[in-house]
Amino acid sequence: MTGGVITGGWDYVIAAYAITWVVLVAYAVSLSVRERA
Amino acid sequence: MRKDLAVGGLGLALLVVGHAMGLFVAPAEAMMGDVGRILYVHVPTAWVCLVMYTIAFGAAIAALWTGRKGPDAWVEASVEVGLLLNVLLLIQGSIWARPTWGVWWTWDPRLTTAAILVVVFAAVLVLRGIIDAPAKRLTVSAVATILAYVDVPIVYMSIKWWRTLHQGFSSPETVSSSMVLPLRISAFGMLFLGLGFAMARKRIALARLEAEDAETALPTLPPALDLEERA
Repeated sequence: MTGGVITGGWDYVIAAYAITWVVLVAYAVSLSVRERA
Repeated sequence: MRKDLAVGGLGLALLVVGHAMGLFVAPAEAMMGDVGRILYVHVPTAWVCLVMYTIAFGAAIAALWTGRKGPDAWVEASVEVGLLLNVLLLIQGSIWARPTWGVWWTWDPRLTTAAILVVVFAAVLVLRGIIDAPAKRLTVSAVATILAYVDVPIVYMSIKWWRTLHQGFSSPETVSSSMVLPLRISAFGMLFLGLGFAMARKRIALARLEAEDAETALPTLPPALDLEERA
């Protein structure tokens, strides 16, 4: 942190977006599988 | 074209644009720096989670009122999608909390009440899973959904009612216009995607409920003839 501002942090940003997309895509796939079952 | 695919597809497209703008176009937040970009994914998830629970609440009242399978299927669908987003928002919030608050988790009123939401709405799905009788399942899960929903306004108001680390309410007047647009696009994207998911999930739930009905409506077949014995 410099001057009260958080520096860096892209790892956290990428992790948050990646987890979100993985979960959303996985749920879409699960819906498709359940519909065909 | 199927409505759920159209609505979900629109949501997907908006979400891609909103997230791309949040990651690459919007400026870094004044205090949080680039970590502030998590808000473009976290805030829409939280909003749509509460929207899904509100749909479940309305469907639960309709299910109790009418006793019909349609609202009952909506309860199952919207609770499941709400729960998915609820878990997701806690994970996103935890990832955001680490660099900003220095901890992955704290028993802050907003976080705690949001975690309670997961437990109570998961209980609704568990109840639906263990009750076999359709009419009893409809009634019990609708009542449980209405009771679980009591926590939703508490989550929303928690930042006003208690001292909390969580950010307060924001509005377009308090947020830079360069941040409002990606946030708005992401929010509509998540809303349409969530609705598309719920519509697709409702079709699955309704098909199962109708199959259950058809099974119970089958006439009893006469016992098979024992040909050997007759000969």
